[in-house]
Amino acid sequence: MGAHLRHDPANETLDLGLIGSAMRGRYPGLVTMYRPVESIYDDPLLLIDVSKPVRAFFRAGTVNAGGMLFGTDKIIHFINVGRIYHIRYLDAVSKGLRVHEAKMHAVQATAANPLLSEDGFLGLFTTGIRSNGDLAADYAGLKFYRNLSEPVSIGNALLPPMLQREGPYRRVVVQEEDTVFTRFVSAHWNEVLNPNTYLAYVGRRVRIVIGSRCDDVADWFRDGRGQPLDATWFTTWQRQLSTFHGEPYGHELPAEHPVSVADICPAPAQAAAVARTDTPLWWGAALPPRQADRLGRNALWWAAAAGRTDDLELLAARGAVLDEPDIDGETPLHAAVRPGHVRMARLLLSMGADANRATRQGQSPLLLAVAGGHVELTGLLLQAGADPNLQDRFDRTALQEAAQRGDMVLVALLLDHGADATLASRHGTDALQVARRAGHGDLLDTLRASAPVVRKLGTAGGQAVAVSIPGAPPGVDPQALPQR
Amino acid sequence: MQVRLASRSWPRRPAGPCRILGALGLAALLLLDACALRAPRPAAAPSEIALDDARSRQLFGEWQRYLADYIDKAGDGDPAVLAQLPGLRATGTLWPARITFGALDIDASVAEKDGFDVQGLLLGPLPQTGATPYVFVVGIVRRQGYRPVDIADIRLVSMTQRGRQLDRTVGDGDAQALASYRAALDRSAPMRFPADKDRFELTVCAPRLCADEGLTVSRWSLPVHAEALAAAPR
Repeated sequence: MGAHLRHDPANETLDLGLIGSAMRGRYPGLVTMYRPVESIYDDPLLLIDVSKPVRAFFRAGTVNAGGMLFGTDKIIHFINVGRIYHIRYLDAVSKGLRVHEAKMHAVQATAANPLLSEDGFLGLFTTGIRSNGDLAADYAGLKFYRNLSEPVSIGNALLPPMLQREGPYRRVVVQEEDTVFTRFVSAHWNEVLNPNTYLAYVGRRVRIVIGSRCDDVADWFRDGRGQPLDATWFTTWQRQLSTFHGEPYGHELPAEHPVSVADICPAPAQAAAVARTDTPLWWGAALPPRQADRLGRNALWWAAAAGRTDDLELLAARGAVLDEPDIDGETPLHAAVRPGHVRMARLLLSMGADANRATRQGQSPLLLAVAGGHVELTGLLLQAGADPNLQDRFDRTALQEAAQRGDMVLVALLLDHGADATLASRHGTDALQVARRAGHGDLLDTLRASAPVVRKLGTAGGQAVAVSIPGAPPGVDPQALPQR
Repeated sequence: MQVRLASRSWPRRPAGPCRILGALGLAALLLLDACALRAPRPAAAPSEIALDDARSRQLFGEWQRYLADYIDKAGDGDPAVLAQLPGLRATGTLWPARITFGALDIDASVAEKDGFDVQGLLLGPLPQTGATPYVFVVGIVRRQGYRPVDIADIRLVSMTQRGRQLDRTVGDGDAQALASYRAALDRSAPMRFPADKDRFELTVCAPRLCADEGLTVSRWSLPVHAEALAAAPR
């Protein structure tokens, strides 16, 4: 992505790149960027509004990375301004400043730059927006560039350097490549949670648009019972995000008249109750334990998804149905397993949740646990009686999913519990083929050795046709083995 | 004849800085003009224009081509790859258990500006019948002025796997079903297909397969092989 971004200094060119033919060719059907019907910064053209051209040409799509929603402009900030921060940081360090002083120098020096500052030409002056989210992305970019050569902390996590010196070279020592970017992404980038400062007339317009979307906010942000979160929750987030895990990053928000969800949507629950007459039972009041919302999810489902075990016990005691699926067939157990809530899953299973209940597409909780790489959950489900050979609507198995991930621990765990390596998808792809195709050669021997000695290929003239496969012990009669 | 240029009463050429300012002003006006054309208006009226059958089939065909290409490239020809779409692993989406596949900006003059987004929701492979039909309900969303303005058509589409071959079928359009679906759309929510509340159910309505959308009481159908029909859910 870095190579791609290097040539894309603006949001629009980045967005066009992300939805362009090259990316679509590489990920056909998967590039489906969210495109708002009405950007929050769109307003009727005012010829005297000099910020309008900039806002019109630099709209950013919203993406989800690492479970965080943010505008693609944050990526530009992360890569480009983060690099500028880093240059200033290195300069300050070379002059003898200590690390925290050098970080502050980088933030302050960029804030004083009339071109780059959020108060300057590319910020408040031309767009009417001083974005705290942008500043956080800049700061996260500094962390990223520093982390190339030195350990950095993000909250309580200490990240070792991504490059290690080996003689004249540096070696990449990143353990999980798919988190190289997302480990630096945080809720600070989400402008719903981390609101901005606006010039007065821009703020007035944005205030109106946010007000018209309070029910959307209520849809997205819910507590463990599935209730829309109130202003207090948003205010708490606002306060938390005013620093980057305790480190100042230039955040500013006027105490008076802030344009924020907490201020504009003080009671999203009530707003939603008015807006959505099709769901009168859910919004605005505690959902009765036995009733579901418009998504087909009951309160227990939401408690499971949020990992709130206290709420779950309370709701179960009030008669909430344990295995009630939503309209796509996802039960509370699925909802708990997907984000990896081990304690919640254990509690649900101990209460009698069905470990083998599948979604409409046939996905069992075990399949989800394996797909998410949750080893402990996988073990828990297997011990609770989850069938390792359940197949989804495509006839895929958990073992195939583990083979796709290249996860030896999961493969071994599933095989220990009786997973059948010969089960194949409708197309005839078994775990061995999946592993081979995904380039996980280290799994091949384990899978071969575990597979039954023969596999049935079909019938010919009424007779089962079976062949030996490599690794089969000698002297076994294929006809004596059970056929699928 | 001699002409004395100095005596002509032409306007004097502006000085350097004025010319630069004038040019900048003109550029700014052009920029604002471009913005006026480009920026969507909040009050854009939705337009409901039916697509003719040939045009619809062409767009559904494009979507099928994208899907077949994806199955071929990402799944080595195995449609089971659809069960591994990254969205199914996500924790921050509203509908993680839905399998959808989209082709954006078909026939768009500029990305996002106009053209069509075609999105399909997998209703499921039918039970094993030798050849496996994968049935999708597919919607065409028309874009205008950088925003989705209309559900232009909805149909059932099937892809039947015969070995490495994928046979494709597009169902007939149903103007009445489309009209009732459109009538029930929540206009305050962003227009997309499938909508968050949609509840499509696949059933047999012999001699065809049907998909019913429960909330809008709309139905679309598709001819399928009798063998598949026998195994389909009733």
